[in-house]
Amino acid sequence: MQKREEEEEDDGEEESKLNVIPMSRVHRIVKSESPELRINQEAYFLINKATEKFIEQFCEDAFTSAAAQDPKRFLKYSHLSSVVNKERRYDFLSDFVPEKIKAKDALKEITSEET
Amino acid sequence: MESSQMPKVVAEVDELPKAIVRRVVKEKLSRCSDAGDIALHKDALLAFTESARIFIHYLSATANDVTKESRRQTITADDVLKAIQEIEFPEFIGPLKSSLEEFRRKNAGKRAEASKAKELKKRKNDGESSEMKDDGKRQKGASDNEQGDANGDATDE
Repeated sequence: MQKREEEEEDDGEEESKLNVIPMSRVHRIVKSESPELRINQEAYFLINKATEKFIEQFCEDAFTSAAAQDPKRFLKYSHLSSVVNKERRYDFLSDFVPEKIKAKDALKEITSEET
Repeated sequence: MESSQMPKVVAEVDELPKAIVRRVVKEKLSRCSDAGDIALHKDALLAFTESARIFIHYLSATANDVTKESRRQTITADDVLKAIQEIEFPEFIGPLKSSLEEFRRKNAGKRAEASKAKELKKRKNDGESSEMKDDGKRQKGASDNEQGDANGDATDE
């Protein structure tokens, strides 16, 4: 199996690449979490491509949401966490891109709940 | 405090190469805005990289559900496309289908080249006419099948 992965990678490099993300990295990421999954070559290709599209979409959504508030010349973490918080289809990221609040505000919330 | 024995918390997790994620984001941002270069904060880049990794798992798992529901074992391109619909990113489907066509064309081209090469070798061997060459041919045929084709299930173990 290792050999085949290398062959795929070599083939990709000989011609113009269809993928921006290295296919081998996508393989490793999937295998690290779900080694039992069986995925054919075309499906792997689409997962790779979809991930690239996802980064672009997330970027666009974050930038749009940030720009709506006032013209932005930069993209920061809270722009991303705001999108995750607001749009349902980004719920899967809520544990990984949470909104960050200051410790003192968090403490305030806890104490006000207790009283 | 046992500061010398503090365990190092290093997430040894495979991630996408940061340089590539950065490139994808920067190129997208330059298309989003005409107002010149948009700066990307470091913590945002980290979040993109991590999110992409989570997305791969999320999409794979959803596609796997689609596959299992159809009582099959191997995730196919169609399963992934259905999964994209399920996770509410339908705008990807059109572009993904186009990319898939391109991918299939490329692979068909490669297979055509491979079988052409096989054909040339066969003619050469027939010209030399030796019985032993048959074994070599059969082996080549088998390995071609193993590579998997556009429609078949190339098992990934």
